[in-house]
Amino acid sequence: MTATRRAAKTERSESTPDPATRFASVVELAALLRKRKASAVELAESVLADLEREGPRYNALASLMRERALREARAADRALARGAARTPLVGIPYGAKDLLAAVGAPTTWGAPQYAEQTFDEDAAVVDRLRRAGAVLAAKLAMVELAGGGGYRYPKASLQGPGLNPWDTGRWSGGSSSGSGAAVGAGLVPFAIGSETSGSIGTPAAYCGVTGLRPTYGLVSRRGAMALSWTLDKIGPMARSAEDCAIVLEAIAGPDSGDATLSGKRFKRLDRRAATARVRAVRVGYSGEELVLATPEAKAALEKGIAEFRRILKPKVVKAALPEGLPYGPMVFTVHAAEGAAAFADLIESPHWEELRDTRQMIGLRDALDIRARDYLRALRLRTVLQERLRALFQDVDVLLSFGRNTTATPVGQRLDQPASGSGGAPASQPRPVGNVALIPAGNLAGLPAIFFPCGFGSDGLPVGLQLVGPPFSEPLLVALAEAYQRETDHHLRRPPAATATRRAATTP
Amino acid sequence: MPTGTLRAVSREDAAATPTPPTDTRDIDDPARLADEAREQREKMAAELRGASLPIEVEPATIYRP
Repeated sequence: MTATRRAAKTERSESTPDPATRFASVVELAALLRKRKASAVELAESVLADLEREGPRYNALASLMRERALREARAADRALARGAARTPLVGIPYGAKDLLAAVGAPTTWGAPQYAEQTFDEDAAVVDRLRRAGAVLAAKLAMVELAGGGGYRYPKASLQGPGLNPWDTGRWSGGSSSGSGAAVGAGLVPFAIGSETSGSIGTPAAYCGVTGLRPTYGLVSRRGAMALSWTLDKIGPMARSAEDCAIVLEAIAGPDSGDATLSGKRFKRLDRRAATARVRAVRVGYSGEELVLATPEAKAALEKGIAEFRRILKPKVVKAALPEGLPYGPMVFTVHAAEGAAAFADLIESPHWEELRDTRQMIGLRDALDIRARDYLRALRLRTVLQERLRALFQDVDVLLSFGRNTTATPVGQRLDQPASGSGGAPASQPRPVGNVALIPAGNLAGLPAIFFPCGFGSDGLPVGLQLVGPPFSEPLLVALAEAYQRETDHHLRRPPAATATRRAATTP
Repeated sequence: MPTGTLRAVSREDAAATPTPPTDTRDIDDPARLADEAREQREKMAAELRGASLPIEVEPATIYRP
């Protein structure tokens, strides 16, 4: 492991002359800033240059926020000079999914109708990160309206299809397309994404980054586009579980502007507590869902799961999601009915047809016809699911499965084909195999999840795992993923294209 | 009528119904997409209605007085 880290650092210094920050973690950058080996302004300038030059390569950029970033970086430098940096995020640049309001740039929600939309107040998450000293460098691209209507093509975005840093012929996943691509390409140390059902997990898996979907009600959604009031969650995407935890600590907590908040905060376990919890953990695992993995992904996923078990040596309990619940129809109905209700005024306006994806447009309009009895039945079935999962989590501490059952799909491929990895509503699956429905089930029940890389498929693209726990189990999820990442280097690997690009850009 | 009876009838009907002709419209044709969206919504609703659900179960809501 040490040798691998050393090799990674050598590669970085060869490909990145000054400052040696690209692909560095939040922890590494914070140390650099505190030791005054770089200033926050230098770091911001470097990230802004990378974003400006390479963001468009991945269609990752919605708006570059140069002026604001430099202003926040100068404030960070002043705090660092005074020795008043209270969090590790002081001076650390980041990107925010473009569904979060931020003063200084449009908030497009990925849709042509909102291309010029601006807000005079920051979203709660952006405000919290500002107060923690982080530097907002960019708004990052997303699938239009976060894909509430079930989009058919990756190009369903104002910024164009999210392209994968590991292969620009592949999709970066959705709906947090730009967040996944920007972190995966090393353009920002971390980004904020959001998940209704799969929108952090899919881009994290496809782009080889770590993503943390918090418990529903842990992170304020004030100032975020509402797609599904009972499903939307906002969370970090970064290079490691440790970095995700640092960001989550800053963004979680009470806010009077979001009535659904629990009032709880997030705090990482200290090293001793984390070690004890990891040693004692009971992991629920089925493995049956691996039969649904694509040929490119299957062997790497099996290897990743075996590696996780070998490193953490957990007590593994055979456990699968409750049977008899139609997860696909449940999440589809809640997601689509709430999304259509949220956008009803737009759907019934002449501007509706400006959306980029015809299927999404028609799907959302059709969802206005979802009957109240069906929506309420989905919510009542959700209550049953929550009760059954509470029972399941008496016997296990977490559930383990793959992040996605496929590597990133070709950018021209329809997403409503089997095993497509669509960020939209999953296909109906009345009899789910093993834990294949963990993403819709976890989202319906408001459960936290961590997604982290575990290797590469036969096509050279990243694959990852996910761990899901009971509400507010983020400290354990982080501790488990950190324990895995301390012994592996999958999360440290970099896309060859990004390295080649940097070399080309810096070679005279 | 008990749900089970309805489902049984619908299965028999399905067995007796000839396969519908393949849709020849372009896959992105808006009229075809509208038909598919409606069919999907109806299929999802049918699956929800077919799932066992005790009458006393209340919906999870976000309403907190």
